Amino acid sequence: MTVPKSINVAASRWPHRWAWLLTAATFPLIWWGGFVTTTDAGMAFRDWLTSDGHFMLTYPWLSSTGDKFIEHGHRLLAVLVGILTIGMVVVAYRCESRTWVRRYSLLLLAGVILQGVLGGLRIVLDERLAAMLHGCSGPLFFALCTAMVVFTSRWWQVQEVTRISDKSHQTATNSLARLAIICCGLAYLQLVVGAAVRHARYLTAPSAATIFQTAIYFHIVLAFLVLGHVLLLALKCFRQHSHRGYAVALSLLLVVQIALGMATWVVRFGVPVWATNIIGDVGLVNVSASTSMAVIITAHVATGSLIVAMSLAMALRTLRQSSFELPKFLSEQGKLLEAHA
Amino acid sequence: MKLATQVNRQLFLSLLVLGSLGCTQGEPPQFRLNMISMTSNELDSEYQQEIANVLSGLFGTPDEPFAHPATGLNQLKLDLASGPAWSDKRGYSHGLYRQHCVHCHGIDGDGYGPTAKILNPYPRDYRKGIFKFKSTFNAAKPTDADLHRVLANGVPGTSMPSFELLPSSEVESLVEYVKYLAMRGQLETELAAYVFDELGVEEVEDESGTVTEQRIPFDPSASPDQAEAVLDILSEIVAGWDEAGENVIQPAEDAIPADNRSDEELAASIDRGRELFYGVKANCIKCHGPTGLGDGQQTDHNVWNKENMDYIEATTSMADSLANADPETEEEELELDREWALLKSREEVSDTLLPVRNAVPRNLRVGVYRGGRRRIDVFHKIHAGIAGTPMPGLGAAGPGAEGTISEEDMWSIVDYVLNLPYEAPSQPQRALPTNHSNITQ
Repeated sequence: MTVPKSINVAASRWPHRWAWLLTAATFPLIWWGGFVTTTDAGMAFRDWLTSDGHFMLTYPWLSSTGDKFIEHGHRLLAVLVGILTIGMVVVAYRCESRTWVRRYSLLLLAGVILQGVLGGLRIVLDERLAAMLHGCSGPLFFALCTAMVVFTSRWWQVQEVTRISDKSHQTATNSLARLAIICCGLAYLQLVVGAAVRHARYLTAPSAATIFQTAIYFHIVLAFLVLGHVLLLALKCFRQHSHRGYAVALSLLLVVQIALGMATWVVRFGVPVWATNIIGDVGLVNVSASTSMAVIITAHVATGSLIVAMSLAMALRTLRQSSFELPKFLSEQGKLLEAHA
Repeated sequence: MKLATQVNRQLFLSLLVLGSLGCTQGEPPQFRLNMISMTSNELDSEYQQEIANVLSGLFGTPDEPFAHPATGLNQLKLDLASGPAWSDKRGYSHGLYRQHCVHCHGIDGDGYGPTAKILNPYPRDYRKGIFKFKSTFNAAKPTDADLHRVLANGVPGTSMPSFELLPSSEVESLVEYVKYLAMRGQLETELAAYVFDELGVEEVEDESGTVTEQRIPFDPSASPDQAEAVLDILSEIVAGWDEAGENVIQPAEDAIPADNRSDEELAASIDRGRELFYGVKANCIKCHGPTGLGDGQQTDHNVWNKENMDYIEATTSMADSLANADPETEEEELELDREWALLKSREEVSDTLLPVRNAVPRNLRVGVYRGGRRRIDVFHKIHAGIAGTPMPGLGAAGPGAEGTISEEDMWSIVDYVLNLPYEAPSQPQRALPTNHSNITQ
């Protein structure tokens, strides 16, 4: 992978700051969207773009309660993120010299518009599949915002890919990049399967039981796979003395996520019988729609998005330092990008 | 330009995929037939459809339920509980059952929702009209207050949560909908038996004297006799629910222990309870074990699992006998073909059933009481047993009947059971009043 040799280190910091602002505003939106599904507030309003006939920005949100407060809050926060994404495009075109970064900001804008449309489709069609797609593409948008933070960072801009004479070091770096990409892919796959677990429980078709059981089985299997790959990635990072901070953060997030996953199971389904055979009958009664239940379950969802975003950031950073022989069609794209830069 | 063209192409394809989302919008959910009832009564697909039509006419659909006047159910409550989950402009929640219950109890209330297989114990199948935790005699239905309490408190030690944070009106709507599903399920089972017993084929002689077989359709809208029979069956089912209030177990006032008993009185009652627990009449140790750990006999089944188990065993036995069948006449061959077809449908149903589980007696030493931990709850369990399970009752089977033991003795067993978590199994308390200082109230 070749990059332009001349780097403008005096470039504006605004794209990077704005990318951080956008990413920081999107994470609460992921949380809030998770709350909408956890509390099943998705159909609090049957209309979209209006809310019970009110224009979205003039709906008396602070006077509303329950699922209307939750769903409309989600809509308002989404509007804010949309505005910030438009701001990202403006800042990119005014302050960013790299054409591909400017175009990437347009991709973000398309992403947030698509996300809004998916959310609207969910309401208009009363379609749970649309809700699931919305729940999968939201974290993807969050990850893409994180990528913008990486692309606009000083680190990214001062990195130069050089042909390292020590072939084994380059091989190790390439191997790290490959593993980071696999981690990112697995993390996102796990998120999608998790979305299936969340939404399949509301299906009423005869195949609903099979879909849910398959989803939850794979969700548990993938949890072990993701954990194993992330721990291996951390080990490699420490051996190569690179990206250790990211590796530690990602590993800690995984541990927290597994704990949250177990907590989510307990607050949803109670303590499993195999566990009561070890610790004895617990007599736990989960209170449906309680705050603690909603927070634990949604925290599990939000941490999953954070893991995807962080693993993407790591994959991009390791890719930046790697030198792969790209497949022909990708290298042609790269040449086209250079020509347009 | 090349890049722009490629991006445009990919964008168009994505929009095409998204646009097809509208085409995948699901059909409204429909009630499914109780295939154990249908195949056990050897009903063909035509009769199954006719029964489905009758049920639809009498009870409606999951999105549009109908409170038939004969059921006495409240239409407004059913409307709130049924259909997809949404909120109206006043903020009232609709589709309560779909939001809170369907993922475990299923759209039919058959206890086979999407999550059922991973839960232990399985979610309740309402279709038999049998409910475990209630204040009525064993064979009687639960009262609305009983169902309300289960929803409000949840069932400790199981996946059934508490819905105490829902407004009381929403819980009432759910109770009404549970009764609706139970009545519908009970009627479905009775109709299957009625069609098997009364309908089928009849011999019809025409003017020329030729006798042919004619299928009797099940269509109450066209047959007043069938309509009357169906309504009679429904009335009998509803009567059971209406009479629940008259079947509440009222403990005798003079048998209820005083609240201000002294330690010695309590100790004496606990000792008496222990004696009965280990005695022949109550014989609690047979299932709950010699130390109350629930490690007595564990091989029995509750009625829901027993039905599945019997069905699977009967299907296996049918397969064995058909495999050895040797038809001699053409008539026997036709009959055998019909039986093979029935076996195939039974095997398909068997494959869908949840794995059979034993009814494991409760460990009484951990203080987890699924049916409620109030003294009266434990009293009800000892008096009436637990409906649908091997737990027998020691009290009267109905109003005015005689029980196995007196109510005073039942309250002593209550005292002993509630004291068990504080009694170490390896150090059984001696039945002496000097131990009363170790007893906590």
